[in-house]
Amino acid sequence: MIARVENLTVKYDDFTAVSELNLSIEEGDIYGFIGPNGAGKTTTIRVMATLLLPFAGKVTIAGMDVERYPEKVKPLVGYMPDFFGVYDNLKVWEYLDFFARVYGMEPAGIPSKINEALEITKLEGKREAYVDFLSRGMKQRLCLAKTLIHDPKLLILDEPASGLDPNARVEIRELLRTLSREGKTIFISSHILSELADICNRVGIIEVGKLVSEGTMDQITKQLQPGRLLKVRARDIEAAARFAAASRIVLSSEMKEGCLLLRIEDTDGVAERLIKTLVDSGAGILSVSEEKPGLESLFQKLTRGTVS
Amino acid sequence: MNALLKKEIRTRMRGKTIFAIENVYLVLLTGIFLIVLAISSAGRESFAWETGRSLFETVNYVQILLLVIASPTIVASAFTLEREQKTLDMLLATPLSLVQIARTKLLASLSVFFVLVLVSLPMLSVCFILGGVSPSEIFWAYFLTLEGILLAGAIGLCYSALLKRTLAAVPISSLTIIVFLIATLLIAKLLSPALGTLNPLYAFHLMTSRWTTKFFAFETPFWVPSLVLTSLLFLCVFSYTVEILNEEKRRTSSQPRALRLLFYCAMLLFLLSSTIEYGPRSADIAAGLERFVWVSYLFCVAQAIVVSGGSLSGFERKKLLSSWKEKCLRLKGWLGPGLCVGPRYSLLIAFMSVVIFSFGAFQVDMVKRRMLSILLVGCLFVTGTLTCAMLARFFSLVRRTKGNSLPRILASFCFLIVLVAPHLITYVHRRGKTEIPETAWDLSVFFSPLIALGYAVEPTRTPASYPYCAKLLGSVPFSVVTSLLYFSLLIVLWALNLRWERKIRLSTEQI
Ligand SMILES: Nc1ncnc2c1ncn2[C@@H]1O[C@H](COP(=O)(O)OP(=O)(O)O)[C@@H](O)[C@H]1O
Ligand SMILES: [Mg+2]
Repeated sequence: MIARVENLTVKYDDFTAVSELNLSIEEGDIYGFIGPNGAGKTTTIRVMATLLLPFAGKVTIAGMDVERYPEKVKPLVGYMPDFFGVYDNLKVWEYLDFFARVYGMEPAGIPSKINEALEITKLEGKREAYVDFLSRGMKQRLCLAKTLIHDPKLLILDEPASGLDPNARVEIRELLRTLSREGKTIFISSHILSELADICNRVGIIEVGKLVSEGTMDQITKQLQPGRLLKVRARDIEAAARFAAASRIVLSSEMKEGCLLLRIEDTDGVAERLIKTLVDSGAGILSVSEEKPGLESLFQKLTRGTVS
Repeated sequence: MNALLKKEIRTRMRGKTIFAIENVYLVLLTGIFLIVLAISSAGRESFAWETGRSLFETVNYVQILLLVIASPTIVASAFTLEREQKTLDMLLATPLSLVQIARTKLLASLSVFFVLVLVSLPMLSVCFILGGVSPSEIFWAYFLTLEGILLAGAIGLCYSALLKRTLAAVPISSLTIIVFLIATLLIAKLLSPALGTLNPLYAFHLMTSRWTTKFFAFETPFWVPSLVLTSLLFLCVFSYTVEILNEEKRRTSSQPRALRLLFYCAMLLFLLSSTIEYGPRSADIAAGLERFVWVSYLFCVAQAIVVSGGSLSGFERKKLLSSWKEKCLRLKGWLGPGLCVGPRYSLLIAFMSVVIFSFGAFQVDMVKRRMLSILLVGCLFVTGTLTCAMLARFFSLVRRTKGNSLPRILASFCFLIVLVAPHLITYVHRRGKTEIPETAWDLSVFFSPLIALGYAVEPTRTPASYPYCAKLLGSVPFSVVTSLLYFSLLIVLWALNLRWERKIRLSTEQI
């Protein structure tokens, strides 16, 4: 367990931005922290990055309380804020050199470290460029390079892909995969579930300061929609629906765009039995396929209800 | 070299502002130097040393004035620029401590001015050659200039941490410096020259005219008060800056910033009051001491009221109601704010006791008296602040609406009444009498914490202006009665608090 958030409550004066939040991040995870705008992601992350004190509860990183030992936690964490800028009148390598030194790296090892970071973020060509003249995507990558420069165990990235074009987003995602392969633990926030779904192995969904759901992508899908969803097309769709209902293994059925959507339990043999019943019924089954719910609709379903 | 310092100097030197400032400064100083040189050599007949002297004074006055007013303009952007560029978060997330960051920012921004100081070196050597100026005077002139730059820089840095925008921080800090220079000049003329040495211009004036000044009832060279007072003010401003930066982490305001400022003011007030010349030395010290004790008392009470008045905000209230059984914890919660725990406030009290003890402890027979005095002051502090804390807590418990201001205001109001009422009562009952009558109404002054503190500082003094009290007391020190009074008040308030808590708990349980 590299990081752990326990009953975290954060207030801005009288407004509670995060309440009783619990998260746990294992070593090697790519943890997606997802929620709509204003859910409290940045607030949580700022507590983890020692920039904000919790009102109640605590955050521990590598077993150390962030509030009590900020100076020990800081070197372990690479933090990338959601909105950030760069210094005027500073070159790319000087920028990285500055952060490397500030984090107390051995001076001798710094140049090679800078090269490594530039290489991984594909910024080698910009070594001598002034940072304030970089494009938005490059600045984002530079910030990531800065986050990597002191070799932190845990990367905390607050919406690293926001405001980027699709290509740059893909690049960032690739970069995260590479980093994960190199053994970094990554905690990343986003307001778009589908963006993280295929790279994260764990996901936490937050809504108005509360954790709505946490687990692997599969678990979350299951939790929302128990069982499997079968899509049936038939010549006599009415008859098929009747037979399906009579079979008593269908949890719920629904007509949509001339197709029959049947929800069944996710246990061995159930689907087989249902299909057999339907085929035998003589309703003229044309096709049966499994329906995967779209991630965005899932996300909406998760976060609806609590919003209003 | 420190990485932050290197980066700061690098980015600043690449910017344009620095060059503009350097050039303007060079032109101004050289221009003035030449004009003064022309006037003093062309006008009436004069000795070379007279020219040297007047050149030396002019160049230094101009140099100090220009640099002291200009230095905060650069420093004031130290943090606001980081905020505007949105780089502050990343800087604060690094392992650098706030003190390190603030210190380096200050030095980096001032480095330009340290260099500019050297510009006047050739001019001053001309003065030296002309005669009329000693090397030590040149040394002290530089010393005063650097001191002034550092203090002005610290003030600029403070505004930089306090304000969000560079465009606000720069003019405000320059304005503050100008007001500061004028105010200290007035203080120097009207109150105390020693205090005036906070102003580098005045200190320089002292250096060239009298050289010595009276400080803490001693005749000392001008640089002693200048060094002591400037360092103190510098430290206060600097640590306040660090506090403000620290505050960025703490978004819920349980202890408003203004209060911390008050603490630093209390520290300063003590020093300031001691430098004012009052007459015979012992009376002087007693008066200064009394004022200091008063200010710290008021500070502690204010702190207690603010902390306790806000201690039962929504969240705490919920916690209180759900954990009724954890009596010990709540006791800690009560005592904590009441005693104003936290190293800073203990430091204040400790500092005060040392001061009380050291003044007058020079004679052996006074040691016992001083011990008693510390004990009494301590008792008054503890009972007074706890009572106020309890009062504020009570209002906080009773209030129905949200927000912490009402309990705080109510508690402060009650405290003010207690502060003023005894004086008012005795005043009304003595009106028009020439000799002081013995009246039982005088007993109300036992409630006045300030009078009690005054008598605690000099425990053997009898309350001569309150004959009835004096007769009742006999040889018992005045403050003992006040402590006891406040102690019983404390018990009553405690009981009231407990009752209300119970009541609230019962009413919520029924729901
Ligand atoms: N400095 C602040 N002062 C007051 N309220 C804030 C502050 N920062 C954020 N908030 C509020 O806290 C809530 C959570 O914000 P945030 O953590 O930034 O959300 P997210 O990053 O998920 O979009 C929002 O409702 C926002 O308005
Ligand atoms: Mg955010």
